[in-house]
Amino acid sequence: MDKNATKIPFLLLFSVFLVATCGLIYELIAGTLASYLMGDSISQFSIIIGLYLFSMGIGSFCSKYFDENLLDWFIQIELLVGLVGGITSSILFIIFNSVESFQWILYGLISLTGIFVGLEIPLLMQILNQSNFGFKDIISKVFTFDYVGALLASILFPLVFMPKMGLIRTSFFFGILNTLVALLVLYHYSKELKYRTTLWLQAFFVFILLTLGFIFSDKILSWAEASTYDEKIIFAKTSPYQRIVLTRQDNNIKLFLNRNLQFSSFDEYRYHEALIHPLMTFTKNPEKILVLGGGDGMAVRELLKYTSIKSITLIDLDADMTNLFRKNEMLTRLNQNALNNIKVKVLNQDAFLWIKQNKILFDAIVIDFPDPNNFALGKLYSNTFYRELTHTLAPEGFIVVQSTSPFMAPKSYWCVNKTLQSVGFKTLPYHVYVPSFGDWGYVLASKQAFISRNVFQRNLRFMNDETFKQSQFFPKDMAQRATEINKLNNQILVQYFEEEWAKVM
Amino acid sequence: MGKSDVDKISRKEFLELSGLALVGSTLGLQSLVSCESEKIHGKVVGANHAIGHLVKKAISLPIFQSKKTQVLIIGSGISGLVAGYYLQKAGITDYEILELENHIGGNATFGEDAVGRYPWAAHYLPIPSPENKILIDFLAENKIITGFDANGLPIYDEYSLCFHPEERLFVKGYWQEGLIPNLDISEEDKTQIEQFLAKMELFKHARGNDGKWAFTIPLAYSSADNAFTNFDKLTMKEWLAKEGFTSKALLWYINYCVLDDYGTPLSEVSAWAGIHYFASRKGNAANAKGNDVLTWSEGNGFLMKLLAKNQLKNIKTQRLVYQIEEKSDSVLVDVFDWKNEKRETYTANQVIWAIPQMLRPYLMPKQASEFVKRFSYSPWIVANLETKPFDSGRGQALSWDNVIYEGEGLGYILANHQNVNQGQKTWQLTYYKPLVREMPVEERKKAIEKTHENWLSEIIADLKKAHPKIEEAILKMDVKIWGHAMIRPTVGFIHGRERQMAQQSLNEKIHFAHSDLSGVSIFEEAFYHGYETAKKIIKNYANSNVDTLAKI
Repeated sequence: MDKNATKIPFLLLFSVFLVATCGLIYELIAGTLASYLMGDSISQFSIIIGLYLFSMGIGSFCSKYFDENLLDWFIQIELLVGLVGGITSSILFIIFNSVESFQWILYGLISLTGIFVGLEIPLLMQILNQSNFGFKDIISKVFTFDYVGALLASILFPLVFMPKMGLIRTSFFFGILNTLVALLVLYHYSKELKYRTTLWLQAFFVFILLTLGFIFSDKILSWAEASTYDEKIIFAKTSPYQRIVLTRQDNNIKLFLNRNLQFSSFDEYRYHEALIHPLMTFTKNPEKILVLGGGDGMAVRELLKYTSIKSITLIDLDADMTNLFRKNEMLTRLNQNALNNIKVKVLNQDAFLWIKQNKILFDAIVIDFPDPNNFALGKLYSNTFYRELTHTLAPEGFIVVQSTSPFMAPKSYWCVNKTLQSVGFKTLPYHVYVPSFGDWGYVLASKQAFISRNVFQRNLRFMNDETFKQSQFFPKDMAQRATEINKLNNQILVQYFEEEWAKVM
Repeated sequence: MGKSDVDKISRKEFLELSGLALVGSTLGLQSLVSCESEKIHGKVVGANHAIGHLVKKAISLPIFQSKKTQVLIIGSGISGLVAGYYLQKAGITDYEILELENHIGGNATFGEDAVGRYPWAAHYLPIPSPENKILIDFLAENKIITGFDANGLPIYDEYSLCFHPEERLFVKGYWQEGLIPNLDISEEDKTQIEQFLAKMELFKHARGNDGKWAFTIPLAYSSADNAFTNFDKLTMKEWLAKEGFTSKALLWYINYCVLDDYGTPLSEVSAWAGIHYFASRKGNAANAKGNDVLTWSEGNGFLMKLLAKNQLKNIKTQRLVYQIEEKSDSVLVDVFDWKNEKRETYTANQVIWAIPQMLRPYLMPKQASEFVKRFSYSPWIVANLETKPFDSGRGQALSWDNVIYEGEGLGYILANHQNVNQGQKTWQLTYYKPLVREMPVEERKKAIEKTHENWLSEIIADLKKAHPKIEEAILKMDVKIWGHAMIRPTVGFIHGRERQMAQQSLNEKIHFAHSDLSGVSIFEEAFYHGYETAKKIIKNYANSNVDTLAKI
C-alpha cells in the first residue's frame, strides 16, 4: 500500500470499483426479477431503474448526516448492501406464492438496496476528502472507477453471470463481493475503527450467511433446472407429490408438473373451454359437479359460468397446488378466483380412494388427470377406476376425460375410449387444437345417448356448435384404432403412452 | 444384557425339558429377541424359547376347568380355519379352534401398522385350476370371483389380481421383465430354457394311465401312474442332469422356483415335486392369464380373514395343547391357557389335528408315530422393511416381485403394490429367504442365535446388490424366523408310505389336516386337507344325528 499522502490509496479505489459493479448488478437483478415475476418487462424495468436511482438519491442525500467515524459507517453500509442485495432475490422467490402484495415488498427491498448503494460513494468521497487528497483527483478517480465498474457489470451480467449462475446465485455472489470489500477495509484500517469488534462480528456473520446461501441456492431454485425451461422460472416447489414449476415470459404464464406442461395462459382457454362446455351441453340440468384433478381451478372457472350449478367438488391430491391457485394473486386472476368461490369445495385427497368410498351422485364428472406416464397414474385410467365411477355418476349424468393427444399418441387416446366403453359407457371422442399442446383429445362418456340438451354459451372465446361438430371428426392419421382395454393387471395404456411419446420426443 | 441372559437360560431349559426343541419357532410365541440396532429399528419375532417352561408350568397346576365340545380343532392356520368354515356351513357350530399364538393364521399371518398391511409369510394364490371346484366356490362366495362369463370362466376381482408390473429380475445391473433370465444369456442358455419350458408344457397336459392329470393341485388328484410317480425317486438335480439340462441360467431359475415354493434346493427336492411346480397349475379366467396370481397387501392374510370372520367366537388363542389322549368314545385334550395361566381339559367327540405332523410324538406319546421322522421342514426368515422411496434401478419399474439373480435370498415383494392411490410415501418391502446353506436343524440353531443387527446387515448386503443406496432409505425392519416354515418334498416323500400313514384318521375320532400331509406347503393343499377333514366329520356327525343329515 502506497503511503504517499497525495496519492489515493489503491484499496479505496478498488472498493469504489467493486461497489459500483455490485450496485449496478443489484439494479439489473431487480429489474430482471420484476419482469420475471410480474411480466411486462418494459414497464417493470423502467420502474425499477427509476426507483433504484431515486433511492440512490435518497441515500446520497442522507450521506450529509454522517460526520464521525466515517470508515466505520462505510463498512457498516457495505455489509448492509451485501446482505440486502445478496438475499433480496431469494426472499422474493420464496414469498412469491404466499404474499398478496408482492410488488410492494419487491419495491421496498429494491429501494432499501438503492438507499444503501446511494450512501456508499458519497461516504467514500467524504473519507477521501478528510485526508489530504486533491478534490479534483478524488472526483476524477472515483467516478472513473465507478463508471468502469458499471460497464463491467452491465456486460458481465447478461453474458456470464445469468447464464452460468442464474439470478439467485449471482445475487449471493455479489453480496459476498460487497462483504469482501468491507472485510478488506476492515482489515486494513482496523486500528482506526471505533467499533471494530462489532463490525468484525457482523462481517463474519454476513459472509457466512451469504456463502451458505451461495452454496445452497439450488434449494431455492435449481439453476440446472431453470436452464431446462425455455422461459423464466418464477416459482418452483417440490410438493409431496410432484415438482410444481411456474414460468413466465412476458405475460404468458405456464404451469409445469414434473416438467410436463399443464397450461399456458396464452391458450389455456381453448383447452378448458373444450374440456367443460361440450359436457355441459349434454348434461340436462347440471347442479352437482365433480372435478377430479384440475387443481389449477381453470376447469372450475369455466363451470362457474353455469348458474344452474349449485356445487362443485374438486378432488386434487396436492394441497400445494390448490393453495397456490387459491392464494397467489397472479394465478387467481387467471382462474378468476374460482377455487375461493363459495360453491366450490376443494378436497385434497386421493381420487381413486375417494371415488371408492363415495356415495354421492354427481350430474357431471370432469376428469383432468396428468397424462398416464407412470403406473400410478395409469391406475386412474383403468377399467376398474371407470367402473367405480359408475357408482358416482347420476344415471342421467355425463363424464369427460382428458385423454392425451390423438395425434401424438393415437393408440393411447383410443385406448382410453375403449376402456370407457368396456365398462358400459357410450362414448363421444373429440379433439381440438391447443397451440401449446398440439392436437388434444377428450372423450365424453355416459350411459345416456349423446343428445345435445343445451346450447353453447355465447360469451366463449373458442367453443361453439360449429367448432364442436368439427372436433368430432378424426382425420386418417388419428382415426380410431384397435387397442386393448387398460386394466390394473396389464397397465397397457402406460406402455402405449411410453412407446408413442418416445417416438416423437 | 440381563434380558438376553434370561432368554438363553430359558432356551436351554426348553431344550432339556421337553424335547420340543426342534419344534422351535413354529410354536413361536411372539417373543422379542433383540429390539433395535443403532440406526434402523425393528424386532425379531418368532424365535421361541419358552415352550418348555410353559409345559412345566402347566403340569404343576391343578385343572382349572373341563370343557366339552363336539369338535375340537387344533391350530388356526389355513387348514384349521377351512375345517371350521365348512363345519359351520354344514350347521355344526359346537366346535372350538385352539391356537397357540396370540394371533391366528399360521403361514397366512400378516402385520399391520400406520403405513399399511404386509404379509408375514404366504402372500399370493395362483388362480386355481377349474378342477379345484371347492376353492373356486369359496372364492366366488367371498366375491374374489365376481361372476362367470358366457364360457363359464371365472371373472376375478380386479383389486385382487396382481397389478402390472408383476415380476422383474435384476441381472448385471439391469432389471429385466419376468423371472426367467433372458438378458445377456448365450444361445445355448436360450435353447435349453425353451426346451425345458416346452417339456414342462407337455407335463402340464399329460395324463396318467388312470386318466388323471399327471400333475395337479390338489396334489391328491394327481395320477398314480408309475411313469410319473417314479420321478419322486430322484432329485430334481439328478433328473435335470439326466435330461441334459446344464445351462447355469436355467438351473438358477429352477432352483429359485423350488426354493420359493418348497424351501428345498434342487439337490434335495424330488424331481416329481420340481416338475409339479411347473406343470400343476392349469388356471384359467375370463379376465386374467393362466399364470396370473391373486394377491393383497396382507398376502394370504386376506383369505385367512375371510375364512375366520364368521367363526371368531369359536377361536381361542394363546392355548398350548400339550397332550391328546384317545378315550373309548371321546378324545381328552390337555390345554394350557398361557395368557391366564390356567390349565384346561377338553373332552371332544372328534378332533381335527391342523398342526404339523412333527408334533405327534410329543402330544400323543402313546401312539405309534415312527413315520413322523420322515417329515422334514425348512426354516425361513421373512423380513418386513419400511423404506422411503428409493431409486428402484434401471430397466423395468419397481414391481410386485423383485428378484436378484444369484441373490442370497429370494428377493422382495412390494407389499403395497396393490394400493390404488398416488404418491406412496413409504414403501413396504417383504423379503424372503429360506435357510438352506446347511441342513434344517443346523440352520434353525443358527437362526435362533442371530440378533436383529445380524439379520439387518445380511439382508441389506443382499439388497445392496441391486439397490446400492437402500440402507439410507430403510426406516424400519422387522424379522420373523419361521423354524418350520414348510414341509420339504425331498426324494421319496410325496409318493412314500409315511405321508399316506400320517393321513389316516385314528378310529374316526382324530383326523389330520395340514399342508404337510401333501408334502407341499401351499394354500391350496392346506385348503384341501381342511375341507376333507370337515367332510369326514360332517359325515360322522350326520350318521349320529338324523336331523343334520337332512340339512346337508
